[in-house]
Amino acid sequence: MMDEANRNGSPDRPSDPLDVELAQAEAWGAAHLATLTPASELPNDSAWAYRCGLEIGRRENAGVARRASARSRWVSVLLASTGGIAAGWLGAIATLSRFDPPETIPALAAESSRRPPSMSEREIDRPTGVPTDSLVIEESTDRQGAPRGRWAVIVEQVEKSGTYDKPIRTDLERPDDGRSDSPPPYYLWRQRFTSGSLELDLS
Amino acid sequence: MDERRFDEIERLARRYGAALVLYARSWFDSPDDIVQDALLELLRQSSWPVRPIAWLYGAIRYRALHRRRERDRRRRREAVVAHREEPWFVPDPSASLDAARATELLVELDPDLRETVVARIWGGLSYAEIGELTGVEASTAQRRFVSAIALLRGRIDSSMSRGRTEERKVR
Repeated sequence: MMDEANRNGSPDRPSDPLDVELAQAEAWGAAHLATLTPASELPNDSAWAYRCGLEIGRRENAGVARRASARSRWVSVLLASTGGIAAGWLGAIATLSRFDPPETIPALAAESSRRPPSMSEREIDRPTGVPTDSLVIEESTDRQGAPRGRWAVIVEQVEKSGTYDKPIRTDLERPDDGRSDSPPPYYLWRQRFTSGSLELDLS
Repeated sequence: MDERRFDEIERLARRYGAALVLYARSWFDSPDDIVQDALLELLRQSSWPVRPIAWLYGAIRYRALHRRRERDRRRRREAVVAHREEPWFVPDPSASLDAARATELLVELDPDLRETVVARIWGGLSYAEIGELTGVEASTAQRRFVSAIALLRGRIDSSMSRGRTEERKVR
């Protein structure tokens, strides 16, 4: 990052005192601070989620990105709708777990996009014994096993080590005639689940 | 939605995600949510910014300050003070600074100085961009950077010399 930064703002040939001090400070910062890697789980998780959304979006004309943080118990889902809220959601929900390695994403995205008619519920494999929250995708089917255009997100805790123990389900309507060529509006759909309750904030 | 945006968002998240989290963390103790929100907001922008990374820093700053104010109000109301001490950096024996010590040093810095260092070192923002971000001239951002580094160097040097003195006493 510093290489790019130097092109952006540092004097190549310092002349006045501030420039000299600045050059020295930059050098010290590059030698000591820049060697430290900021701690975050975001890069893989986020990039993974966006990629997943992109893969699904290519097939479904919908985008989805989400992130689950066991620490804060926030799950964010970005949904694309062709008709807006009033017309319902055209949703494609990825099933994710923050403990899943990023390599599982392409397979997951591909699986989500196939939507086999007989599918009723899927869950991502995750390390056993790890207390985690998970998202499960479910597509309702009729008696013949055909998709009914209804998608559900189930948030559950695998181990009852937290303050809630019941799966939380939110159904998302997908209208049959909801497709449109116009660019879909995007909404952030956020769930917070603590103490056994679910708060929805559509913003 | 232009699919190139997804690619660009992914690229930004991959390359700058940790740096953005660090910047958000210096303002607020739930940084991942703020960065996520900023990325989503960028995705929804009707016109793509010329320098998306600089735009993201601005969006994070706005959101972090807003949330911090909300949190402070809530804490006052609930009379609950919860302070989480999490490492800001990945522990790395090969790094010249200990991750925990570096976190302490940055926390001790004045917020203006800390923000400048974080945006410059890990975000790669130019001084003009930092100035725009923080509402000062580029030259002021430069001076802040110099001051911050001087303080950090001084504190590291003094702690090292203190360590050497204690080591001699033990011997």
